[in-house]
Amino acid sequence: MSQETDFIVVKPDLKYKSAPEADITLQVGINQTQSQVIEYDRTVSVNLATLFDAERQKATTFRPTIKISYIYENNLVGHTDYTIFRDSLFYVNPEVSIINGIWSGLPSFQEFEFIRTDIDSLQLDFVVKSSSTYNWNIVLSYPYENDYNVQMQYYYQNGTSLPAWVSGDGIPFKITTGSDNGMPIIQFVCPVTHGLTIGQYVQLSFNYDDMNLFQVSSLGNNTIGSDAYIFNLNNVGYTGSTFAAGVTGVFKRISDINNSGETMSRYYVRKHKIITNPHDSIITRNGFELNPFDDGAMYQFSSLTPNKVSRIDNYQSSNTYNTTFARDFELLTQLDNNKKPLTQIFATFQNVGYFGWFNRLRRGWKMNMTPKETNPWWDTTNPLSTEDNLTSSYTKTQNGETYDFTVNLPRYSGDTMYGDWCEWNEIEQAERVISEYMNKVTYYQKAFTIPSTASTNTSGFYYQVHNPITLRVFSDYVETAQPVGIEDIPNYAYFSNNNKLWLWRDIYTYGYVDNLGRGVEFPYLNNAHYPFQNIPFRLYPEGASFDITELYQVVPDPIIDGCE
Amino acid sequence: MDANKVRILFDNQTKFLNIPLEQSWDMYGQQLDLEKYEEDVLEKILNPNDDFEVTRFDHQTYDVTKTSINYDFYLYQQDSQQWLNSYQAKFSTNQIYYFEPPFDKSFWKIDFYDSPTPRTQKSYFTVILPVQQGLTQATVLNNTTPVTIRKPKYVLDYIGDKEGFFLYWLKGRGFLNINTFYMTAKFFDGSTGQFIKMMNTQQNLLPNMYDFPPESYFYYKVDLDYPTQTYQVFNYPTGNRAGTVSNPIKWYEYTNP
Repeated sequence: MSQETDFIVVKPDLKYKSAPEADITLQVGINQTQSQVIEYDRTVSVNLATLFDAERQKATTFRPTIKISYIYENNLVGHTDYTIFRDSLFYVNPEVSIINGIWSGLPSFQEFEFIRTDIDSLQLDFVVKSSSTYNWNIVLSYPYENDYNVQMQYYYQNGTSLPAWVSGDGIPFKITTGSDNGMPIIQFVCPVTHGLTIGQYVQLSFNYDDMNLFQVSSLGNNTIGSDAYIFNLNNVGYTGSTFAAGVTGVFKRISDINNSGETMSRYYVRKHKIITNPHDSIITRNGFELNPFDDGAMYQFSSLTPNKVSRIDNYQSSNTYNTTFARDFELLTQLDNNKKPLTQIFATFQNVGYFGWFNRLRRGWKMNMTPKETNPWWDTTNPLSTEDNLTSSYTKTQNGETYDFTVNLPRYSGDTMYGDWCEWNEIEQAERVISEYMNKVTYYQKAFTIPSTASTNTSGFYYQVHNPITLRVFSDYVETAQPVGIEDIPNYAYFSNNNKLWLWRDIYTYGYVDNLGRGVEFPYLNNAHYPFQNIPFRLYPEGASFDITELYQVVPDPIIDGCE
Repeated sequence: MDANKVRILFDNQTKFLNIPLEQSWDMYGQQLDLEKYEEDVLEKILNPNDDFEVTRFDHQTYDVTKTSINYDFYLYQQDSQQWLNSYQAKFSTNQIYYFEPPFDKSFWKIDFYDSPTPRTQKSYFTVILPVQQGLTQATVLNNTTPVTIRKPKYVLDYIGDKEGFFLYWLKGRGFLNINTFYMTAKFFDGSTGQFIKMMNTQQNLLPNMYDFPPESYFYYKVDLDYPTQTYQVFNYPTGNRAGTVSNPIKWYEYTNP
């Protein structure tokens, strides 16, 4: 201690009148010399499998590979006077065309492929580097937030519709009446799968006797597959017109009536953020893999073509493609639309149509595709179905006629767009896709006219925009924990006020697959994960047999299928 | 608390105050440090987790929209003592037209080195150009039938002939940070089973056909551009861009004295 002597310690209560008594702290320096004694040697057993797994679990780099099994049917016949298009058609009835001068046919397969090879096309100066981006673009995206206010509408085949609703309102329905084993029931027919099970409750958008919560008594109408689209309430003698046939409304699912606030589902449209640029995608054709369908081709005799030039023309192919990405994807702290760790990214497809055959893209959901008919949703007079991508155009003049060709410009990293319509339930900690987000491409009628279709709602092709690539998997069980005394509750857990519990689903480690087959087991090397996703990419032609989305009706078999 | 009810008198002498301090050692964190240290040591001892993934480098665009890479190969014809852009310098028309084994098994071998100095250079990767690719030339078969046969002139691009168009090199630069290569060419002659060395200048145009610095006449320089994942080829050592339509990469057979 130093020789500090000229100070006085005054007790606090003597400092001034009525000063309170207080503790005094004396800072005392302590000189210390010590060293830690090595008590033992540290021994580590190095196990290759353990080490590999440890590195694998820590790795955050992903290099996704996509195989695109491309399935389409080029079946919309049209005709054109625009010679560049006319001379490239696959003529369906050239013997008649040569007489009446109307050359009807199908566009070449080049208009649909992921890689064009018609380098001698007269439509534009072909840039070889762009051969894989003229028709389609593929980028990666992930859902980052929910939109509860997306306007939706469902049209029946006869042109009538359910009242418009917004995505957050719930699932629409139309009431019919019926009976179940002699018991009168009220049937709620939904255009999409309702996600209900017997015993669960629904909150309806209207009241009966100040009550809008009702228990589901049964599902379906005794026809195959109807369980997913129809739910029933016992008609215990409801009077008035509240549950009369033809009444429409929306409902929200409640999985536990005793905790209706927390177990009521939320409904929303996912919003996607694009995370790669179009030129980051490396698309190659699989040399030795074809899909099992016909790659229709025919020799066009020179005498049966308008320009008297013979050629072999394909109207569709059976090609499959591979896509890798020039940039790696780093999975760090990104959160998905429900603020959970990201477990899926999406391969987002967009038709570009640089060669001018198609109009501006239209958007909707799978429920807006109806078998055989062109659904009014897609009409160009419906602003809700206009896709919000940027477009550009170029003009060509031929025989005094001016043609304005539209190009749907690709999306770039940072752009956002709509995605699937989904349901989320906090207690179940699970998301369900109600209806997939779709785009529709329609022909530019001036340059390629499809007869007998409405001028503002032409026939076209549909495709699913977002196709999931699984990176990780949530457990099939919901983990729970008391609010105190439990460590390692993940930060994305949901706290149920009603149950006083934390709820979450575990994220399975890489390489772990449970007895239900849930899990990911893709290669790990170069300190990166290599997820592989086989995407059957379908281009649905208008009039094809889609999934059953119409108010549960049996879809007729196609008149012509791929085998014929 | 009554611990302050103590009087300390100062008398100009050094005083010592014994204050018992309760001390409990907290080893928290030390274990984590050890584990981290253990990981570091293990990582040094074991092979580090290097990234050997390769990615595709495309030929950088030139003349606004063109991307093709162009190779012209000239083989030495002993009889005429000329360098010909034709396989007919080494093979008969029949062999070429019918892809007979001596021709069918032949190929061009493009090697990429990190340096043009033979004594220190390392070969890092190779591109093979098969004779089944390439443009064609008109000729006559058996003095009677006009046919077209392959010629050693390659126009490689994204579509069409594309084998050898893309260069595949390390995606990351952590393991090897090389983005300049020196390219040589050889022709494997299936009829003799030997490699023929190629050079970037027609040999008879040199001041001395057999005495020249190899660094200047056996290489083209290839630069990889990582941000755009493209490559360019340059004449070496002049530095002019090569491989374009107007200035193809020209390889001439080197003849021994």
